[in-house]
Amino acid sequence: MTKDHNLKVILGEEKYNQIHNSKVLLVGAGGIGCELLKDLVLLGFGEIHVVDLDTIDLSNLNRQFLFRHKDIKQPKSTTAIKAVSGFNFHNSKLVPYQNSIYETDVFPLTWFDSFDLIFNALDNAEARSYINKIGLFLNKTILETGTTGTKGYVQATIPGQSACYDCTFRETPKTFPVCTIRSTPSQPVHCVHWAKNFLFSSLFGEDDDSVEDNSLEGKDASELGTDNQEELQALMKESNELIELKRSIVDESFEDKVIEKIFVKDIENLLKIEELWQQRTKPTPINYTPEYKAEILKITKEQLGTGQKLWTLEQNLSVLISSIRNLQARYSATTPIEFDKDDEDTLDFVVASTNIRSHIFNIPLKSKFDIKSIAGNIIPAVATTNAFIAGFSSLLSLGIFNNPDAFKDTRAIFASEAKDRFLSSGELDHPNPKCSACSVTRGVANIDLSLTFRQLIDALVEKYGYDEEIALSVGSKILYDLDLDDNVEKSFTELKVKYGDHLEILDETDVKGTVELYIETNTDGKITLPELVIPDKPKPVEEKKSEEDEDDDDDLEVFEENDEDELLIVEEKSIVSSVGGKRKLEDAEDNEPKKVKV
Amino acid sequence: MSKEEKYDRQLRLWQSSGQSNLEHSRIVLVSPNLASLELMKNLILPGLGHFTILDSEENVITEEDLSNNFYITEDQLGLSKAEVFASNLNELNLDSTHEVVKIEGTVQDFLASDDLSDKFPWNSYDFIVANWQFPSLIDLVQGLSNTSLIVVNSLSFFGTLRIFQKSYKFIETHSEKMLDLRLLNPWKELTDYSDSIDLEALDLQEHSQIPFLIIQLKAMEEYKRQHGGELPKAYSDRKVYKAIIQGWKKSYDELNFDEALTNSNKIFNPQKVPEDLQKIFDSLEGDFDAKDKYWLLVKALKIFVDSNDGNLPLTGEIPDMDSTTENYMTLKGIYKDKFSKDLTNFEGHLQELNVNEIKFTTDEIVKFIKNSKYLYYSKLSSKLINNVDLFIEDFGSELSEFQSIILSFIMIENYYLQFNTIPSLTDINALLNITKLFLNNKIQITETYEKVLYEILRVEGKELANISSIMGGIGAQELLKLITLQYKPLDDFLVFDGIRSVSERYKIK
Repeated sequence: MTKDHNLKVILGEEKYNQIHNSKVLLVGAGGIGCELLKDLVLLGFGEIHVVDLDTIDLSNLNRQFLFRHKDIKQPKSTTAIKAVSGFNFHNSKLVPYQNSIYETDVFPLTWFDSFDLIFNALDNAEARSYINKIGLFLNKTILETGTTGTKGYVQATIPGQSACYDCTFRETPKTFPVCTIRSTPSQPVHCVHWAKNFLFSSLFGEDDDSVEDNSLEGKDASELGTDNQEELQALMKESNELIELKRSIVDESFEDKVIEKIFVKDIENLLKIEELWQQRTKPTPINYTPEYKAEILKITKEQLGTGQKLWTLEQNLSVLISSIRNLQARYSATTPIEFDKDDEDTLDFVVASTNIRSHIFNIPLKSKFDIKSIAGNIIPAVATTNAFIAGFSSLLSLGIFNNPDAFKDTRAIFASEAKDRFLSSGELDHPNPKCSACSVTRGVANIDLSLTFRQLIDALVEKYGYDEEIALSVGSKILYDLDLDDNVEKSFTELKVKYGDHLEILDETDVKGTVELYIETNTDGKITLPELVIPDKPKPVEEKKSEEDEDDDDDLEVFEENDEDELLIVEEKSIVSSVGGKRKLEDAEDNEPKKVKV
Repeated sequence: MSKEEKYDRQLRLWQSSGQSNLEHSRIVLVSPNLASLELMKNLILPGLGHFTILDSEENVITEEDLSNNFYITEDQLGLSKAEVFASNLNELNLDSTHEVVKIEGTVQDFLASDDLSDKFPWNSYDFIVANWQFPSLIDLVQGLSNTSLIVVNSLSFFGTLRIFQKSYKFIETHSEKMLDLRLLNPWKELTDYSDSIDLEALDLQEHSQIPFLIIQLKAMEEYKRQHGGELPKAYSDRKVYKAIIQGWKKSYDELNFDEALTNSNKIFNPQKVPEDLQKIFDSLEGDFDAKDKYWLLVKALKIFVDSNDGNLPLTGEIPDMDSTTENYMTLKGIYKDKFSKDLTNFEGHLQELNVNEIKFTTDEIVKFIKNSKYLYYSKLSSKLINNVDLFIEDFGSELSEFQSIILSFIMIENYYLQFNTIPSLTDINALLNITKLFLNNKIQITETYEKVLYEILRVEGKELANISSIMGGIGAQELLKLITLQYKPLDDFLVFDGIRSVSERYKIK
């Protein structure tokens, strides 16, 4: 009996052969990826390419079953493939890549085109959107998956027929006004934000714009959350002093300088602005003396206990001092340190400075465990959910192969422990006509990058019948429009347009719909544009506003217990919103990313 | 190596209490198949304490296993399955301990022996995992106080899962919580605080920093004053109520008034004992056991509710809101004080009931109070579906897709338990005859049933890797709930149809 006998019996000879001769791409070798790779190998897929840039962490081992303790710090892609080789009974060809999926020189569009099917096993919305667009450019089916704790989903994108990944609205992370973070925090999350994005990056991050988020420049009063000039002056001064302070990072006294400035002087300066404290409880700077420090240094690691314990102020100071010493030793101007939740030194620094600031502002302290969750945007994850979600993804793929009715036959799956029957499945949605990704007409252009924009515009006008009122952009950068015609004589290279960019063409006369071209390149002095049928831009329909206020309904919406943690967990929100009932984009315009002119 | 770091992502689901339960759990796996191996994998990865594989020494790895089973490699042909599986499972996580018990003869013969309970230390395990509903195992578990049986199976594109446990007594169900703010029937301290604030006398700055709960409470008082003490009930009443809040707003950008308006419907949600909890109270009569912590807590809760105008103990939590820290802390303090008072009263009732002086920690009691609105209790059946009347009682009298899958599994199970082999296509007529006998003319065999049966027989008992993965994933998730005593467990039978990608749950009566 051959090893394929079982599979042939269950799947039938024909389906087995289709799968055995197929070539598929698996993006991600993490929680879902490991499970999916196992399933695909055991189902006898002919050729499986696996892309993952990451290396293995200790915290992966509770679910990514292809990895062992000895594999920590090894690449996920190659390790996973090595692990499944032991049971590669059907001789699948296995190809690993330790690269970022965005690397267009390694993964050009033609490379993606060589696959019959793409399996997404990703952990972030940005990469999902990217693969989604690739699928739309190539008219290729994607099986998209995601899990959050005990909830998960599988959804197929069949371009032109089903809704795509970007058809569904996703919440963006909550932001806080700068002044809340910098001078008047009232919740632990404000202090975490301050410790991680302001203090840590100012002291150990790159010298340039790494703290842009918290700088005061170019922000209006609503983003700042204040128009108190005195306060703004103080914050400005604070930032400048921090840059000054960073120069002494090699000094032995650095730790004392940091503590004295951040937790004593800066607070004293804030207290001088009386207006801030008329309605608020005043902060209290800490009393940092050499005697006090001597006591702090006596605290041992054992006394700190596990990360679930709440540390005292002194314990936090002791953790802060030891983390500063470690970070000092690691730091050099050429190798700035990035915050990473799995990097103990960076995490300790953020946990301790968060808590010391919370103490000063009369905010409840939090355990290292809880702060890690807020600072690291941690999404809970467990083996079980990944196992059945990956199982579903591979199960649905069987029905998609060579199936002209795949749209009708494929189900979208949502699983949740809270569901009575464990999972619910439904028909695939139709595309959202306002979707910013799949309502766009797509094609591939081949361009010699030494040519100028003028030459492209002429070609576009000639090929598609635009008049000259168009805007061209790549990502968030507008490269050309009527108000920005300085660029027309510049070459693509000068404007930093490169292979793999997505060039968006907007008809400013509002006649034609939006077009996005994937840029491939030549050196033959040519611009080759694809044959496209560009539909007219849909006429805006006046929507009738219902007279009732929306929340006048007798909705039994519940107060969710709102842990501050959740505010920053963007991924979780997006998944929960798709599990719990999807929200369509009400107005695509509102959702369009802001563009800047260059 | 830090366990806390290794298990970080799951600790966020079931906390250290759940993790500790998992690390102390012991499971025995009887004669594994792919689905139950997948299930074990998903428990060992997160840190199961101990597992034992119990299997016949005759079961060795054959050519056929080298197709869909990732626990084995080609060079392990001919070795004992139990040994290979145990060592490969253990490799997934060295924190778990394991043991292999090989028995002479077949598993069926072993399980059918008269002195089964003496042949293996069953009661030292928390869970037994098997692929078939062996009647002797079900009987055995009925006689054990702390051991449950989980039966998981997958054949072709289908799967089933059933849990045999006497009852579920769950406190932490992780239900979506609706905060109990008690604005419809406030207590004295809350009204006193509200009354101490005179909205009209405040300047704009102070006015915009009054917590929205106070605004809602004041508006409720005002409404009652205008309407002879009546609360707003109908939709139109609520509009009047909202208009009061709207009318008090001094400036368009007072966020606290916006919060009061947006959240105004929520306060009308009834905060008294929900139906499911009432049912648990009703079960007290028959099921109360003064030696059982769960029942002591439930009874204390009922006494508390009866003596508090139908209100549950207040959890003391309030939502985030726009307010000065000071106002917020004052309000929070009032809710916390009320929670502490309720806690003290509750503890009093508990102490009175607790004649056996069973030890409760404060943490335990607080956890119970905070979750008291969403407790879960259910009694489970240990009945085998061995005649058509029972089938009809549990699944109805039609053979739809789900019922056809269930019936096929029952028929194949009967055949397997009798002949120690899974039937194949050549046995289809025999199976159809057995089915007819079983159905006893009370249900007619349908084409759907024949199709499903054909589909399963066609594969000769084989499992598809990804269906086993799904069933193993679901099964492990359910076991984790039983182990951590968190979330709502499957009650108590699940059938999965991988052709249509749907599942259905049944409660066996």
